[in-house]
Amino acid sequence: MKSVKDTLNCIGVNTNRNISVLGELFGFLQHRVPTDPNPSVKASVSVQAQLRAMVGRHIHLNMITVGFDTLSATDRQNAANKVDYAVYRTRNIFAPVALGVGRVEHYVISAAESNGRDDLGSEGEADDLSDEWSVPNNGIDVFLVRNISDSDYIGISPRPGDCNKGDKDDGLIGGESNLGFESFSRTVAHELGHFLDLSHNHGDSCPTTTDGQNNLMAQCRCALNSRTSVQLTSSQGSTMRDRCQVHSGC
Amino acid sequence: MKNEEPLFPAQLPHDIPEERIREVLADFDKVEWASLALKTLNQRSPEKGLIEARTILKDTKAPERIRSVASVELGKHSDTESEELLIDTLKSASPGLLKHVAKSLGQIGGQKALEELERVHVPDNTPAGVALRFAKTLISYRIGSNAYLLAPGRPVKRLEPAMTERTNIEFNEIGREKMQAAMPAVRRQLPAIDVDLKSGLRFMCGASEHWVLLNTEVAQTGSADALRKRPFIAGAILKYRVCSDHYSLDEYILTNGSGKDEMTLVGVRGSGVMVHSGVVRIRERAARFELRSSNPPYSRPIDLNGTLDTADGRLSFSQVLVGTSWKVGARPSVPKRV
Repeated sequence: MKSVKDTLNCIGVNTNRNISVLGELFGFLQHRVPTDPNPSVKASVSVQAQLRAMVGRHIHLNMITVGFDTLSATDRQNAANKVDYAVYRTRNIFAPVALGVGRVEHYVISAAESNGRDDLGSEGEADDLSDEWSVPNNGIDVFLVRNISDSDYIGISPRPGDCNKGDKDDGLIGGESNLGFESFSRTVAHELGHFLDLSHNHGDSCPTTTDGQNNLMAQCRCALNSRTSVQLTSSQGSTMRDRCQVHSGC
Repeated sequence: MKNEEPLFPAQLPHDIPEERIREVLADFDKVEWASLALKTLNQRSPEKGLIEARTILKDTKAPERIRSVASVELGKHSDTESEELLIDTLKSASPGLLKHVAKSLGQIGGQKALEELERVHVPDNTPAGVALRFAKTLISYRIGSNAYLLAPGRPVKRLEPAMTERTNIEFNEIGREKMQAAMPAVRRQLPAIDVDLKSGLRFMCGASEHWVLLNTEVAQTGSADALRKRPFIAGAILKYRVCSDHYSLDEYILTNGSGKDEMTLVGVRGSGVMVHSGVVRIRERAARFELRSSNPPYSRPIDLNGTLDTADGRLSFSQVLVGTSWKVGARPSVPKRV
């Protein structure tokens, strides 16, 4: 296992400056461990576990918020907390199938810059957003919008996502700021699952088994609970780890 | 932070009773939940959702966020009551709501909607202004008016061998059974267009399955002359969405009907972004079309030739080449790093 500095260099973090372990190694926007929405649970992170995860296959993320600048101060703070919680949860959801979350960078598109794409009224507008913006690095672009006014979706991703950045289908819409903490996080992880070539684990009818309903790839209408329905099978893990967006171990 | 989520997640679990959804929907103090409740009802039962959406849109005291959801839903049902209600809302809508109301009217509105849209004035370069403009355009094509037609004047790039690798695209029949099963979702995407079940074709572009569907008024006219006479929404391309598990609008196919044998053909997204342009040439009962210009970064480069036989609504293609990526041309913008 490498040192923190060597691991950060390996995942593409510039270490020739002041580094925050919670900001750079764990990717938390606010440089602190997020609060668990369940008051009886204390969220925690382990440097050793993260360094070990980087020895294995991992992805990098670009968390891109769209139009959060027009939220009230309270809602904006809440939304920032949700983004950090989503990073925390996604890492924990993918860890059991040996897929790490490495470098996480944070980006903003203001409401004015977004040309109205901060409030999506159709799946086509989601395409517009991900076509118009892209971060030129080896991370997966995860767009998080202020609002989605279309009832047909709460997140959207190509399956699988394109391998080349700047091409079509190289990003996903991870959800809207209005969702609760658990739903927001599950949606980000679920859409990342699609991006990494996972389909739903059911057809028109929802799964009949508890395991099926508790799988991350159950549509949210079928999931038992947005906090606990986040399981992945080893086969799903294998599919994700084989994708072009997944990086070799440090 | 209060842990309320197990009671009301993103969309309600399938076993939560409708009564509970309606309770949440009625509580505008928790607008996030009320908005999600309306979305859930729309998904579970579009008919019941429509009734609620109308009630909410009428309620000028309801929060903008939930009225936006309601107005988007109304744009998926082509009926006079929805159209009238959207027209009424036009007059008092905030810019954020106006964007959705105008878009919905574009999808279902007729001559009266067009006239009412003309009375609303907002700056062209705002999201509401763009939506207003495109709503008028879409209605123009649907009712056959020349008032707001698109011209291929935007920067477009031809597919050049030096630009990109190219792949051939194959078109196949969708199959009547599959298409009929998908029709409820297709009607929500194209509420005011009578889709021809016979002529639909499917193709793969990138990792996604797409359908090209024709307007019955164009596909089965028996003569390509109709295309010459007036503008049309000649058809649409739908894209399969894995997460929502349905086909949703990718682009409208619009023809300008210049009165001459050659006319402009454009492919345009539901937001009004033009993605392709080309020409249609009328030859008796056949309409030959070519599409060679694309608008990066919205579309891959394309070089396409085909024919629509209006006697039987059959589409055929002599060449379809699609570039895998742009080597030159507009690149996506880069967001600001925090």
